Amino acid sequence: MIRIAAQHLFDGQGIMNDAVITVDGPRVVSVETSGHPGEHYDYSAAWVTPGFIDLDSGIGLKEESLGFEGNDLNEATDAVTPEMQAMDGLSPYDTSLEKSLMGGVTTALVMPGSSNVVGGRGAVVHMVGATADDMCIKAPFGMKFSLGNDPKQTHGQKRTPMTRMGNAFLIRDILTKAREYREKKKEYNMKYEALLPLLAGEDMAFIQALRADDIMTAVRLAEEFGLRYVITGAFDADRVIDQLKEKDVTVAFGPVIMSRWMDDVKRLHPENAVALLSSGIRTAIIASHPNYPARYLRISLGLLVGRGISPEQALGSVTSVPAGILGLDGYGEIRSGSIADLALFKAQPWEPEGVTEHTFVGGNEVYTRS
Amino acid sequence: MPLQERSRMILIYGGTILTVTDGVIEGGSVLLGDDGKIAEVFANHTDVAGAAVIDATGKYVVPGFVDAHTHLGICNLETGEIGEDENEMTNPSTPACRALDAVYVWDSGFADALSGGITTVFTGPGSGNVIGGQSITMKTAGHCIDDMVMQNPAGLKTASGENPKRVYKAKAQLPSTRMGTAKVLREALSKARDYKERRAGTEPPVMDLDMEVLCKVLDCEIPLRMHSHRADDMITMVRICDEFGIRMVIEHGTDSARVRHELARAGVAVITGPLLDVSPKVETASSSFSAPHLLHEAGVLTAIMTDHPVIPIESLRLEAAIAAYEGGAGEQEALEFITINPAKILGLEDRIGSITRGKDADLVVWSGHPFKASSVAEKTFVNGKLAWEVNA
Repeated sequence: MIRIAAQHLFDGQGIMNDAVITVDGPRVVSVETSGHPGEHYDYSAAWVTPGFIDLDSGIGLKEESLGFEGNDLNEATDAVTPEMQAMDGLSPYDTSLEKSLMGGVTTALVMPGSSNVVGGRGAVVHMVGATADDMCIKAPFGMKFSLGNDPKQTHGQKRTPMTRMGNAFLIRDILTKAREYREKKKEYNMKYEALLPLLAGEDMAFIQALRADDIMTAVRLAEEFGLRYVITGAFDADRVIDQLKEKDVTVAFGPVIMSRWMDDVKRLHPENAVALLSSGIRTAIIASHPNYPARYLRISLGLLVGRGISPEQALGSVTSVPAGILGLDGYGEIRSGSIADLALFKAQPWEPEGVTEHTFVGGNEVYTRS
Repeated sequence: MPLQERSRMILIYGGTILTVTDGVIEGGSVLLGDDGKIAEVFANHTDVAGAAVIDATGKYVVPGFVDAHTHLGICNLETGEIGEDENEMTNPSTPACRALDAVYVWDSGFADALSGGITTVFTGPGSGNVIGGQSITMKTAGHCIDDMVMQNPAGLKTASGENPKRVYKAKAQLPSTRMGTAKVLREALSKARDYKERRAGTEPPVMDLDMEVLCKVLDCEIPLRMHSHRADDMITMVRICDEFGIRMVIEHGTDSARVRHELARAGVAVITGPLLDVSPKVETASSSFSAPHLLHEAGVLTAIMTDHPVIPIESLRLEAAIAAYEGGAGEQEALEFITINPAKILGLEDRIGSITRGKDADLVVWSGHPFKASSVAEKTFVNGKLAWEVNA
């Protein structure tokens, strides 16, 4: 049993003061509003939150510091690769994993990159484990799609797509064929097989779309095939907020901090994330590691708090909201029975001075600041 | 309030002034003179005859930050290859290439800089060549490069390590190794030494633009600005600089903490970063927010960069903040990494880098301490004029 005293506890929904959390094995067994008089706690922290969840990450697939050798993010020999699985390229030795724990990030949906219009299936993983299988919470999960410039740029000189029309065509084509395959199954086809759970509503599409026109293309395609879906990136979403709200679309916005080096990214601004979060649209904030280091996801939230987003909503956007999108019961929250993925901070976690002091995954202390 | 009028003094009163070099003044006032300089710093003053006034009560008044290594305006945002003018990779040695001829002052990165409180940048060629060309120092507000520039040339961009050898290996040209990179630099400096001697003699050589720039390096008018990540590369370059008696500043310095005492002994300053990034290459593996503090402790003059557009320039303060709280530097030292220290590295400490009477009136009114991520730069002044305002 571990007893943790928190001056401020964010439990996934709200902030409680002077809370005491009891962890037994892999789970939280109780959250109390006060401890016993004179009690000595195993840990005391200014702030305690659920471990953060990065909802669209390349961690472990594109390992840091390795260049080509460590880059297994995009199987860009073909623009349509639904049969790829992130689990098969995931390295548990990416040094970014332990750095993520140093920033209180405990969980990620690892997805293939954005070079292919259909990238493949993702894996929900913990940031720690001796093998990819040890890290895995659930896989395969999520089908990665990508619109916009990246597939055009990657493939256009060699094959379709060369245009946004080509992007949409390839997605519409493969989903049409997979649907037909489901009805009159003939010869085994691995690409179509990989798409069947998505067509059946058992899996979810994660469609990267940065520009507003690409966002609406994503919505159009998803509606045509009745997909459950999330728009990721979404830098330009403030332009189509009314449409997204009307259709009850879920968005994973981010990273909030990233060089506006490409046309697709040029309207990225923290204000756009603020507009989404304020609109009532279900919005997660992502690091999109390695586009931005997951370790400092917490600090990107500060830019939103400084522009009027409440700490509760900012912290929720990296905990309970992504856990809800992923359907991970017991994650992204701290209550009796929840998984003991916890981050302890020295001050407000969204500020640079809120340095991470301890991180727990499944009740095990996986990071201690020296 | 007519803040943009050229000839009007502005009094900013009531804020917490982080002077950087002269402590913190609570509830202090700064008078921006009509000559673009800081006319006075007061402990408490709310009115000066003839001055427009800004109430900064509850806010922070901070010197404009200095990003001493960027590609601002040379590697343009948004335009892709069309706007990439930072590497003339047709020859590994191009000293005569000038940043001044390639800076696009309407690039949106300049507004980003002002929104992040950065009022001075060093901007220049990239690291594709061993000798990339001449960098400049400039203010971030203005419409004409010639009005914005402070130093031209401010330094000669040079590069060691992975980048030049990767670029020229792909072209099957020298350099394809670290030895080749050192050879290109040593040969250029040797030729320049010879040129300089002949230039002083009775039969001067035909003017050579490359050689003229290298003579400025040999005369210690400008330093080499050496892109270097690996510690062994830094030591190689210290060796070459000693051979020619020239000055050098290390850029990036990812692994510099490993040789910090050697760098301190050689009198080499280091501009660390970009730090708010995932390590992209083998030679950046030891990237750490602790490096600036370790260097500083060893007596190395140290600054922090964004390397914009590698990471967005407005994030400079966040890098310094993380160096303060996670990297062991503390607030004052980390603030110096993005103000007075880069000013000293540039040789501009008499003009920028602190809130001091007589210096350029480059300062920023922040909603809170600039090391809080939730703080916002509300007003940025350059040369005493309002250059940027939040939500304006």
